[in-house]
Formats: sequence, structure tokens, C-alpha cells
Amino acid sequence: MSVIWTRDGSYRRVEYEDEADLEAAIVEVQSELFGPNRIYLT
Amino acid sequence: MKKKIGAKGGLRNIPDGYLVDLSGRQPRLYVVENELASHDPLRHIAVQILQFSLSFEEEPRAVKTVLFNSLQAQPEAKAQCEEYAARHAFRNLDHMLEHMVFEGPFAALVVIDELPEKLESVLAERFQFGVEVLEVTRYENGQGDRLYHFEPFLADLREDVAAAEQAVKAGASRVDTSEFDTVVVPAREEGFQEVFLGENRWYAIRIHGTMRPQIKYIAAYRVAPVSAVTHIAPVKSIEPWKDTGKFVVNFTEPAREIGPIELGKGGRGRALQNLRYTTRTRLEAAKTLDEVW
Repeated sequence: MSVIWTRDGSYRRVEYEDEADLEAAIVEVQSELFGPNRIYLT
Repeated sequence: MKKKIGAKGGLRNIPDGYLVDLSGRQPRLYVVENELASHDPLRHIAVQILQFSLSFEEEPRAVKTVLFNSLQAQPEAKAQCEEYAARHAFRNLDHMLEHMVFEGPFAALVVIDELPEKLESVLAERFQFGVEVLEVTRYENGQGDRLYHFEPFLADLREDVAAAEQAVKAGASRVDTSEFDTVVVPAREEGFQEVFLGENRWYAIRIHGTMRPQIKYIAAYRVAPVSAVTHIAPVKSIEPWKDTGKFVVNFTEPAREIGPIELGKGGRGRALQNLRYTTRTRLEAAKTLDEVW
């Protein structure tokens, strides 16, 4: 089990429920994940 | 936007998405497959990507229509594409999409929650076209707050492009990722003599899936005390290196001397820490390492 520790508490690795859940995460982080000059179309 | 592509009665497939890359002089399209590692990803991803590539070849017009319709539903993305099209001498959005789909090489992007050990090797062995893989993991605290961990898409290429843009400001000609044909690798003296010169190859390095098809040369930057690029060789092949997810670059012929292309005067400038991309033209014209990027 992988953990990220911060002064405000620790974060534990959690699995995605299904591919739709992963898809939603990608949409959420898309600007950082792909950069400003790339457009993700779903 | 999930639309099937491919001729009627033939392969019909639904990519999870498309990534339109407007970061270079040429727009580039990636077919995106999102996958969970728990779903037998090696077989599933390889089959999916093969089918996407065949469908893409069979029905490029259908792909273009899917992209066009999707952009109609996303005004901001559409405006960004139109602005890019205008800046890069395309007649309009339709012309840009046509160029991207019909003229651009097929490329795929796999986004996965956990990178299986052999995935990158398997994809490199099976496909001649570029396939990138991104791992996106998720973390959560007791309050349900979330963190995501990932390496941004082509992050190290962004550095090379940023460096090239700085060089343009200083008067150099503009370079684009699609023009990169040379990989420069840092080498310690022992490995350089034994492997780079002695075996006419270099391993075990990570090279982006989309870069592999266009790399034609490999150059060696010898670390201190040499601190210079001194040799270059034409590339015969780039193949998976065992099951490491890394690659071996085999040379067509023994490396020949160039330069030396040293750090700036008095050892100023940044020494090469990791593999970087450039063009052979830029490399051979450079007087110092800073001029290479």
C-alpha cells in the first residue's frame, strides 16, 4: 500500500472503481496531465 | 463522443477519447484508450490498439467527422483549434482536421491506473507506430480529499521544446518535436568505450513511443571530465531491452567523432543529466551544448 504523507495527514492509494471512474479522473486533471496546448475529447 | 469508427461490416471500434495535440507546428492526433490494470491489460490493450489503427486506416473520414462534431459541442476547444488553424496557415478548422487525420501518422495513448511491467515492451514489439503510456494513480485521505500522481504527457519533450523556443528568441531557427531525429544520451567513460564504441549500441534507455519511429541518430554526451558531445552514430533499430520497459539502440555503423560540443565557456551551462532530443542539423551546427537544444 503506497502512502503520501503531508503535514495535514496521509493519503492512501485507492483504486478506481471502473473505467468510467478513471475516465472522470482524467477529465479532472486533463490540463495538468496533457498541458495547455492539447485538447482531450471524450 | 464515443462513436464507432470503421467500415460497415468491418472492424468497428470505440476509442475512449482523442487527444488533439496543438503544441507543435503540425497538429497531431492520438487515439486514447483508458484501461484498468486488473482487466488483462496486455492482451486487451494490444487488440484494441490494433483495431483502432485498422479502423483509422479504413475510415479516416469517419474519424474526422467524429472530431468535428465533438468540437462543435465544446466551444472553447473549438475556438482553440480555430485559432491554431489560423496561426498555422490552415484555411479553416475543417482543413486542419483533414490534415491531421489524413496526413498525420497514427499514434495511440494508453492511460492506465498501474503500469504492467511488460506493457511498454509488448507495445513496442507489436507496433511500428508510436504508442505512449501514462500512469495515473489516485490517493485519498480520511476526509475523502484526493490527490493524483502522474508524469505529465511528454513532459521531457516539453523541456526540449521550451529550450528550443528560448533559442529561437536568441536568433536560432525554430525546431519542432516532429523534426527531432536525434537522441543525445549521457554516458560515463567506461560504458561509452565498452558499449557505445565497442558494441555499436546503447542500452537501457527510455525513449518515448512517439519518438522512436522518427529517431535516426544517437549522439553521446560524455560526462565529466570530458563534459562534451563527442560522437554520433546512425540508428539501425530501437528494440525493447529485455523486459525492463527500456530500449536498446543499435547502430548502423560505428560512431564517428563530432565536435566536441562542450559546455559553455569556462564550463558554464547545464551538463546533460538525462536523455534529450534534438535534430542532427542543430547538433552538428552547435558550438556549445546550450545551442543543441
